[in-house]
Amino acid sequence: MRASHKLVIGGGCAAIVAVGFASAPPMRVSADDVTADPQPTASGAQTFAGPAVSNARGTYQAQITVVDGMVTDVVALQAGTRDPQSVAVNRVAIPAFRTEVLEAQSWDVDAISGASFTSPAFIESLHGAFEDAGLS
Amino acid sequence: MTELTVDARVRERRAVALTAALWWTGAVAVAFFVAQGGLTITSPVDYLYSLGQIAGLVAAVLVMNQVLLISRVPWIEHTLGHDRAAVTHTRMGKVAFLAMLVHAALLLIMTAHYDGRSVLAEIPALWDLGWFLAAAQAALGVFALVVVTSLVIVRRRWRYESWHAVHLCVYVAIALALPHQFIEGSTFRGKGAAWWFWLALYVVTLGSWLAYRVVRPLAHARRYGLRVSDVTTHPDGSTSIVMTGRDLAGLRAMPGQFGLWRFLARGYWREAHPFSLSRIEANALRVTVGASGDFSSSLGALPVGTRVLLEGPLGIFTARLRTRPGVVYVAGGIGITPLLALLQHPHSGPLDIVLRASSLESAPLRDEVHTLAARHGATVHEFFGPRGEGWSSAAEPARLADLVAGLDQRDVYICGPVAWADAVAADAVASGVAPEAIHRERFGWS
Repeated sequence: MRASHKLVIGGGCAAIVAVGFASAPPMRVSADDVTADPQPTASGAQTFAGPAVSNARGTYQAQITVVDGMVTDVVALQAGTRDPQSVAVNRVAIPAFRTEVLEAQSWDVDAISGASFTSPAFIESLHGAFEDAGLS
Repeated sequence: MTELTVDARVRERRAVALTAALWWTGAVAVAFFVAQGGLTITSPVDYLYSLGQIAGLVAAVLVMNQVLLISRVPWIEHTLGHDRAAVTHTRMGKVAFLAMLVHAALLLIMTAHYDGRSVLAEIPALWDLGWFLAAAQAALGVFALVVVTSLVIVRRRWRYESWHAVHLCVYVAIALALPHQFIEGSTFRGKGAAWWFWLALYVVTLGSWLAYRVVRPLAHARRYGLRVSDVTTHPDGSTSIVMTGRDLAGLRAMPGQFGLWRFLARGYWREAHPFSLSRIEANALRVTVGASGDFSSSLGALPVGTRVLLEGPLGIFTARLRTRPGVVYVAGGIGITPLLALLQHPHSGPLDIVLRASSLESAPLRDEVHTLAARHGATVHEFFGPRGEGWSSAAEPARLADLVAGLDQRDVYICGPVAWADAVAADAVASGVAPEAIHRERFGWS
C-alpha cells in the first residue's frame, strides 16, 4: 500500500468519525440524572417506594407518587451502577418506564428493549410500590 | 493506446477506492456509535470504557470485511483481484485481532473497576450477565489460538493443509462472538441509519460467503457436472488434471484465471486448492500442479471420474489487463500454468517468453511452451540452474532490458514464487516498464 493511499484511508476514517462526534448528543452525563432523591411531596400526594432489587447489573428501586388513587410520577431511587454503560441504558429505560406506567396506571408493563437487566428488577420494585399504595 | 492506459488507471483507482471504503466502514460504525450517544461519560475514566467499546465495534466490522474479502463474491474478485483481496484480508485481520485484545482488556478492567472486583474475579463474574459473554470469552481464546498457530505455521513453513485446518476454526470463533454483539452490545440498539448499517453489513457479508462459497460451487457442480477425465504425471514432476463437463462455456473461464478445486474422492475432498487453468477448451478444463506439497504430489493417484467442486473461475491475470501493443510473459517454475492458457489464444504484437526453473528437466511442460511459442513466432528465453543475485540464474545473470528491445511498449506478465516475482517486477520497473503495465499473479493462501 502506498503512503498516499494510507493517507486517504486514515484521513477518510478521521473525517467520518468527526461527523459522528459533530452530531453526537452531549457526552457528559451524571449518574444522578437517572435517579432522584426522595423529596417532600405536594399536599395530597403520597409517595411509595418499592423494594430495592439487585442483580448482576446493580440495584434498582422504583418510587411512585400517588394523588387521589392516580399515579402521577415514577422515579428511580436507585438504578444500576455508575458504570457508563449502565447509566447509558438507564437514562433511556427509566423515563420509558415512567411513560409506560403513567399511561397504563399499572406496574405490569412491557420490558424496555435493550434494558434486559433493568426491566425485570425495576418492574419487580414497581410491583412492590403499587402494593404498598394499595393499587394492585 | 491512451484509452487502454486510462483503463488500467481506472481499474487501479477502483481497487484503491474499494480498499479504502472497506476500512471506512469501521469508521462508520464508530461514527454511528458516537452519534447515538454511545460516549456516555460520567467521569474521565469512562473514556477508557468507551474506547473499549469502540475497539469492539472496529473488530466486528473488520472481521466481517475479512469474510467478505474471501467470499469470492465477483465484485470483490473483479475489482481487487484475488491476491490483493487476500493481502487486504490479512492486513485487516491483524488490526481486527489487536482491536479485539484492546476491547476485551479494557472492558474487563473497567467493569472490574465499576464492580469493585479484581480483574481475575471479573472474568467469571461476567458469565452472570449472560451465556453470550462466556461465549465471547471463548471466541477470544479461539481467535488467539488461531493467530498464534498461524504465525507458527507460516514461520516454520508447515503444510498448507495444517494452516487451512487451523484457519477454519475462525468460523467457530465468529459464531461464538456474534451473540454478544447482538445481545450485549449496543449494535442493534436504536433504530435508524445505524440499524440498517449493521443489518447490511451482516447480510451482505454472510450472504456473499454463503452464496459464493457454498451455494454457487454446488449449483455449478449440478449444472456443469465437472469430473476428472484424465490424470497425467509429466516427466518434469508436475501433474496435469483434465476435467470435462457439460456446456463449460457458461463458466466463462478466461485464460490466466484460476479456481479453487475440491476433488470429491476419498482422501482429497476435505481441502480446496488454488490451481491455475493451464488450458481451456470448449468441454474440458486442465490444471497443472507442481510437485510441491504432499497434496500436490498425491494428485497423480486421483481416480478418473472423480466429481469436482469449483470455486471460481477467479483472478484478473488475463488479457484484459493489456495496456501495450506487445507482451512479455515471465514464468518461474510452475508459474507457467496461467501463461500456457494465455498462449493457447491468438496474440497481437510482439511476444517474448522468459522461463526460469531450477533445471531443464524440472521446467514444467517445457515442450508445450516451445510448441505454442513457435505458433506465435515468439522468442523463448530460458534460465536454468541455481539462483543468482536477481531473478535469473547464477550462471546467466540477465535483465529484461537485455532480452527484449522496446520494453516500454510491452506488458509484463509475471507468475511465480513471491520473492522471485518481486525481483522480476523490480527489474521491469528499473527497465522503464510503467507500473500499470506490470501484471502479477501471486499465489497466496486465503
